[in-house]
Amino acid sequence: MTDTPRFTITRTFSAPHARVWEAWTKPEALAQWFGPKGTSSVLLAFDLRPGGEWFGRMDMPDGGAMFSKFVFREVEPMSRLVWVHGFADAEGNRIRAPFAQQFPLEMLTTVLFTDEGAGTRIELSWVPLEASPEEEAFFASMMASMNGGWTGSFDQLDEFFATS
Amino acid sequence: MDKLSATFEALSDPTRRAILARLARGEATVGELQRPLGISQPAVSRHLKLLEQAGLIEQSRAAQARPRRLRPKGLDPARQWIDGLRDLWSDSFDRLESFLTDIDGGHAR
Repeated sequence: MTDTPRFTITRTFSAPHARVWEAWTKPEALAQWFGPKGTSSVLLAFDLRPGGEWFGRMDMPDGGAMFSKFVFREVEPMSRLVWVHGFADAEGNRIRAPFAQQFPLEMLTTVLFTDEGAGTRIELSWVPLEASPEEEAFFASMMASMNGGWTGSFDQLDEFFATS
Repeated sequence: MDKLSATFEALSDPTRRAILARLARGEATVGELQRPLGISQPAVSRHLKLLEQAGLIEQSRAAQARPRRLRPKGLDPARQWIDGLRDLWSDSFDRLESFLTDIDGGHAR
């Protein structure tokens, strides 16, 4: 299945491998960095083993909160984390993404840890999990936008809105 | 379909993106939009209907030909949603970078 849309983000951190692995696998560390700027993460459950759950609340700058539930599939120390990623209600039941019903219900997240010089390279990818063709299409169109597919049109539209 | 999904669906089609790009240069009638696209008038109308339902364009009621024009702010919800998804990881990675630096600083002292 080469046509499954995939979101990938890569970055090299100038920190030793073991420290980066800890930052991803210790709840007290995750709570300090996981989530967009302005949000704060509360880890309500974190069980690092295949089948274990990472259940968290993200407090938004506007006072709202979003819950997410991840279920680990693979935990290979120092090299690889795989989890099923999705939104949840306050009780931890799986729900659809707020505001976008066609967003895939679940996504498979894979995080790879490798040495790069004195630093550590992280490659994170997201693929829709058992998604319907509509959900895959929705995800693909969002990827197209993120990866620049629409950037040209957006820029053009921005100019229009800026001058109107 | 919720409004945001309608917007993404509207944006997912290259013909509709071409129509938006054309309207970004100024309002246009169905006929003016049809000619360069080389598709039938009913096909153009179907695309316009989807774009209108998505809140991306509107009809100008002034002239009899009812030219279509872009609807300011129509794209905002879609952009915010995309930005939010991208920011989940790019912001997290920024924060992780500072977090790792802070630890290093702590150890160095």
